[in-house]
Amino acid sequence: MSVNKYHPHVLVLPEDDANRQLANGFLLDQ
Amino acid sequence: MISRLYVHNFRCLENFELPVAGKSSALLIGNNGSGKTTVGLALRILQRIARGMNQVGNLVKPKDFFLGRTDAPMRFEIEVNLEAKTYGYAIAFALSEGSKELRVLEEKLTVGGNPVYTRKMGQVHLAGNGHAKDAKFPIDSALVALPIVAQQSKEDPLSIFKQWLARTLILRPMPSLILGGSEKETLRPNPEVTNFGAWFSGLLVSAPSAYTKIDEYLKQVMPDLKDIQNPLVGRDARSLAVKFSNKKGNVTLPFEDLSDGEKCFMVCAMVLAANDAYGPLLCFWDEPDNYLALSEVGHFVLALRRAFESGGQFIATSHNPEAIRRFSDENTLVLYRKGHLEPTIVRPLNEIRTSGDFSGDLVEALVRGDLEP
Repeated sequence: MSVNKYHPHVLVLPEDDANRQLANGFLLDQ
Repeated sequence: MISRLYVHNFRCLENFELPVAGKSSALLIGNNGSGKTTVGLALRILQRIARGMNQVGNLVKPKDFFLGRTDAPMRFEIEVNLEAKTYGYAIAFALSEGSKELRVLEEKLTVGGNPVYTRKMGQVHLAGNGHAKDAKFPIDSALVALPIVAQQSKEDPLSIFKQWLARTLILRPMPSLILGGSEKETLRPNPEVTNFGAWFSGLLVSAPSAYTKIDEYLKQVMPDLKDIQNPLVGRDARSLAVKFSNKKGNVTLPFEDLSDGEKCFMVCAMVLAANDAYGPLLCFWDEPDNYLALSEVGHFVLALRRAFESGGQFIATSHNPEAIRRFSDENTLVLYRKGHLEPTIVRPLNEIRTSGDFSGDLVEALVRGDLEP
């Protein structure tokens, strides 16, 4: 949800488009 | 969920089929003028028919024919799967000879492939079922039959389909016009969502528990939100007000004084709660990222995608890289148009990638203007 930098979080910097889509999959499954 | 949307001879859409079958969410991307919003306009015509607009002249105009080609009919066809049944509705408009008025040429509603009614020009043929025999009646060809044909019961396929189509959310919110006042209740927001107050009241009247869903989402994006009030009496009766609080105290703001982006959070909360309360719904949101801070866009889009995974369908259009990055190749559709005299072409992004026409980072390719299907 909204960025709350005081909560624990993971920042994903995907190295390419395929990895970006994988990261989306994890976020949708939350 | 839509399994087929076909539009022919309407504005820039010629022989156009939107490939969204089986996708709980989809994103339309493409240059300005490629036809993304027009897809929403086509859906809006079908939605207005289901909401009771039956005068052809109020739905489409002669100028809506692709390149003014009035010699061929304008067609809209939609197929949806609801409660394990396939409903199909098709309507064709044509300009009658020697007249500037548009007429209905054909119309048909089917369930599981069997007709509920068919119509040619001014003749409607109601198919018989267990309760009633076949029937035929004449109708003014300047009127659409769907809003007029009477439904037998709430379980009547006609009623189920019409209600689903009428409740479809076709959104292009204009926050500056959303004031939060209401005179009555509705479950049918208009595209600009200027009747937000009525929608909010309507949702809470029909499903009071929906407030939990609204509250849950809004508190994630606005942690100091206390509650939303809609007083029934007094000077500010039926005007939404939003209360914020922290350790220092609290403040109540009239809804119209919220920022544009905050009003969009409210609309998003309503969409999530509505799909939960009276869904599954189809939501077409034209540029949901408008008015939002960059840090919010990704979360906003993902919240919508996630909510529609368990039912309903979410279709968005966007130019925003943060929104575009939250979709994948298989649910991104690229719309393209060579010029104003050409029709819109649509191709799924994964097909463009596998055909070798494009590789690498999508957003970078969009910035360079290199993505041409």
